[in-house]
Amino acid sequence: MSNLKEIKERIGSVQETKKITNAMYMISSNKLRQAKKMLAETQPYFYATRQTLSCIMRHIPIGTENVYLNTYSEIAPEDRRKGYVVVSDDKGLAGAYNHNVLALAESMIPDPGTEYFYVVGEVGRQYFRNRGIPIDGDFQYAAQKPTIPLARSIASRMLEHFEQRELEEVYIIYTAMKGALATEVRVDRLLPLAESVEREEEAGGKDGVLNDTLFMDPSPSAVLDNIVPPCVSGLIYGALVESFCSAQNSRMLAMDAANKNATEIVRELQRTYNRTRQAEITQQITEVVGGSRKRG
Amino acid sequence: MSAKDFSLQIYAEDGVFYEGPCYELILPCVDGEKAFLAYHEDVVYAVYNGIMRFRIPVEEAEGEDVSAAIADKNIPLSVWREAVIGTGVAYFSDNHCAVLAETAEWPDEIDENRARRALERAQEKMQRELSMREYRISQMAMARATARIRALSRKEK
Repeated sequence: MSNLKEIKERIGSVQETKKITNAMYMISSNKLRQAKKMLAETQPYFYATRQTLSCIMRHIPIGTENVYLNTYSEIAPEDRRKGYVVVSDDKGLAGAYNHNVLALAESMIPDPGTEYFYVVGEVGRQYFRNRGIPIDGDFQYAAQKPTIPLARSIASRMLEHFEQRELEEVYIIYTAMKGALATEVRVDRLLPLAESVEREEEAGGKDGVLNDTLFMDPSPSAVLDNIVPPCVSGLIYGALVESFCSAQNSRMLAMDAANKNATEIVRELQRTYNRTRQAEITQQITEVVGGSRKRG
Repeated sequence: MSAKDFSLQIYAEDGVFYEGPCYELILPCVDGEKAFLAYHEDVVYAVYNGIMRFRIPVEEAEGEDVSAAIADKNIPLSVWREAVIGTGVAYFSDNHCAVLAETAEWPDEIDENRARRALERAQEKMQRELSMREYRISQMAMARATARIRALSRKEK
């Protein structure tokens, strides 16, 4: 049986660790609250943008030339170049959060077409580097503190690739909150926009007749240029914030479990400690009694 | 709602900027300023960085200086509000106007020094050789900074 001093030290070290996990728990629950507030503030803008975009798309005259209307549907699936923005976290210790995102991203590789990965977050970058999967080295964004300028900068990169026909499709892989506690990994298409794909399908079916006209100034194309980039950056921002919320949530749950385990270990150790101490005292009493008997 | 006003919603990326009735709205558009009155035809305009003005009923301007309130034969007592707006779109339909812009700020929220620094930075960047994307980013930054500085100098007058 281990001696008292060793057990005491062990209890001490478990308690120290518990202090850390407890602090991490509190930090992540605080960050989660802030992130949720941020998301709630921006939502009206992005909902309205989305709505306006789909409205504009329905009214845009056939034959309007705009890069964002391209769906590149003439390119065969095997030849398509797809960009994936993968949102992981900067740190580990968040349960299965990072693993789930990265496993899904990796599962895209066998699909037809060529994949290009753009990874947000240090954990994801390390993962891809260790596996020897090429990623865009210039794409150095941190997952901490998702901001609108950050989302805008990612969006302008992706839009540039799309405009210059370097990528035919752009997706984002992220984690979304599902209910209060559960999270879920999702893949959403950023480009071509769902609205432009729908429009193309509709136009094909209906012989290109659009009901009422909406006046657009200075031109439908200029209006699109102004509304599509914020729409894409809005989608990215939403995904970044959802991921950030999920990461904090997963970390909170993981740290909560760690706290519980630490309490359990301390309890067990305390019991062992008490037993050992008791046994030692009993031993000493026996020795004293035995000794005095011999003398008497 | 009386016959002279329309409902206005100004949404910026970081929150709801203004929501309420409005009599007259002047927006900086790509090819100059455009004014909107109630029952404007359904239209979508591309909005550019600049100064936006809108006229709201005095009741809406709670706790603000209403000494400049004006009324004319068509429009009841109202005050002009001025704000700096970023690129976006304005969508007018059914006597309702939604302005969706990257940014929207009241003039007193602007940090003049920051705007001046941003302008200098953008000018400096544009002189260097740049890719198309960087050029466009600098151009937008410059337009934003100029609009902010202009709004401030107007206020001082």
